Amino acid sequence: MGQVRIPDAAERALSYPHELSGGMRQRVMTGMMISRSPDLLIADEPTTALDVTIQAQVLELLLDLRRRNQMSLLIITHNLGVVAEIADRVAVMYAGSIVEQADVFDLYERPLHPYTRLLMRALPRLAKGEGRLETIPGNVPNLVDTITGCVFHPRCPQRLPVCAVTVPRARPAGPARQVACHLLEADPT
Amino acid sequence: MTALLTLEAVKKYFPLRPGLLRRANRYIRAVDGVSLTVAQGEAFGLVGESGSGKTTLARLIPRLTPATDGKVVYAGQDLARASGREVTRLRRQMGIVFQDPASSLNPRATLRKSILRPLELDGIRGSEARERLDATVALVNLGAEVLDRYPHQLSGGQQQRASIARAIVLRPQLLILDEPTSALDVSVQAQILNLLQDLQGEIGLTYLIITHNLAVVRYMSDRIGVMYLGKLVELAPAAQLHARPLHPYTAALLSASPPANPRLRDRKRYPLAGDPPSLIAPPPGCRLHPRCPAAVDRCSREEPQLVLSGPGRQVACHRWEELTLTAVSREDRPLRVHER
Ligand SMILES: Nc1ncnc2c1ncn2[C@@H]1O[C@H](COP(=O)(O)OP(=O)(O)OP(=O)(O)O)[C@@H](O)[C@H]1O
Ligand SMILES: [Mg+2]
Repeated sequence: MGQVRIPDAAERALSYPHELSGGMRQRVMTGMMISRSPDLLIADEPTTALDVTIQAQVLELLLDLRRRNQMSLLIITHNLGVVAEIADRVAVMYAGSIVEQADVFDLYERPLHPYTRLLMRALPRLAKGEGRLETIPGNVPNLVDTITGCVFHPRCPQRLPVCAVTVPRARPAGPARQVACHLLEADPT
Repeated sequence: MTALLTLEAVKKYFPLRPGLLRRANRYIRAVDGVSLTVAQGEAFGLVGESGSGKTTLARLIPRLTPATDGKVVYAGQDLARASGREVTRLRRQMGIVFQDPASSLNPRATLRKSILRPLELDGIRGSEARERLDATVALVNLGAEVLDRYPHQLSGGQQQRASIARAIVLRPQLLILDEPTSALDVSVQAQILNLLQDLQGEIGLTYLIITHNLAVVRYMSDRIGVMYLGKLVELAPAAQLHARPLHPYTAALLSASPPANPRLRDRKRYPLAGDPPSLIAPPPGCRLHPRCPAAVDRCSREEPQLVLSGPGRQVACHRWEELTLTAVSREDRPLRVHER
């Protein structure tokens, strides 16, 4: 528990979870995972409840473990800040499908899938009163509904007739990059 | 500017369980003398270290937890002195939304039931209750078709809309939002933040919003308070806090906040040394001093008080006038080509 920075660790080891702050609970979990020095560490939202200084320490810790133990890291998160901070490669999932895979720099600087582009634009980068955030029309589909064609087409502002009919296959779009979108098949940019 | 909420030197100490260390009088000082005022119609953001007492502070306001010391004054009424009936009445003027919508929605009740519940407790039934339900559901853009579903049948965004609906169905003046979007993905977060901003205009809400996401707090707040280890260390209008933090902890927080741009991953940070210290025996003097890069002798001896540092700004640091902690700017960092 020392490694993941729990103050008063000795006393706290006897605490009940509800007495720990959200952040402490998260750090205890991380401590439990890394105590087993794995080859692959899958971290599902490893820093959600943490303040950003401790988040930075946890990310640093993960990167350090990776370097020292040659460990691979698979990070699952909806925090695009964390992804930008730590990932080499990124896969973007929507409703159960990977719609785009790219090097982290390409993804942020040149998102190709319409869903990725909209996600990047929905990030709050404004101050209060400077305008509304962009949103993606509609809602994430219920996974029990079967969608024909592209999973994103019901919400896609750029959909083509083909999108409702055929599932786009993932195709290469540059080095180490794959995008599953009919737009790119029609017009490779 | 009328104050809706005033906290005066509020404290919350949790006793350590007896027998744990067999030493008496040991407390977790979760909130240790916080004073602040939230104006009617204002959006006040609260940020800070994990475990610095933000959630505890939020729970003290409607007296979900009684304060150990200090005063909570809401709409001119001292909550500690109010009678049980008064507290109930005041509580109805406050809504709370938590990070985990599951904690404000009953998993075994339909949304309709969950949202009607506060009305019921308030003695509002029948057609009036139905009208209020419909109006509230429309305000949060929740489709009427989901009202007869259970929480587990909804997406995270729908659940959070439902818990906002429940929190505002009695038309409170104050809405306390504790990490309202941290369980949501970016696109749903944007919808909820837009909704909250619309609601503020439409029904004149006052917000106390707690979050670790500094981009969210900047987008949502007029003023921001920064907490470290049970204390408020800085208070400023949102734009000024981001442009020019005065407290080293604020600077550390801002520079650690990931800017969602991989080119900035090697930006200059303002790092804090070591670990977060104990809340049971907090460091003497300034609580940040063992970790503060700017600490001098005085910091370990004398506790800095929150002082006025400019119009609408307060800071608790002995050195605020000497330090220049310009926020680590996002744009002026050199681009760097990633090495594999
Ligand atoms: N019921 C309780 N009994 C004992 N200690 C508690 C209780 N509730 C909170 N604490 C302690 O009080 C301190 C402050 O907790 P709090 O949840 O207010 O922090 P927070 O600022 O909301 O943190 P986070 O950002 O991680 O959510 C922590 O040390 C926590 O363990
Ligand atoms: Mg909390």
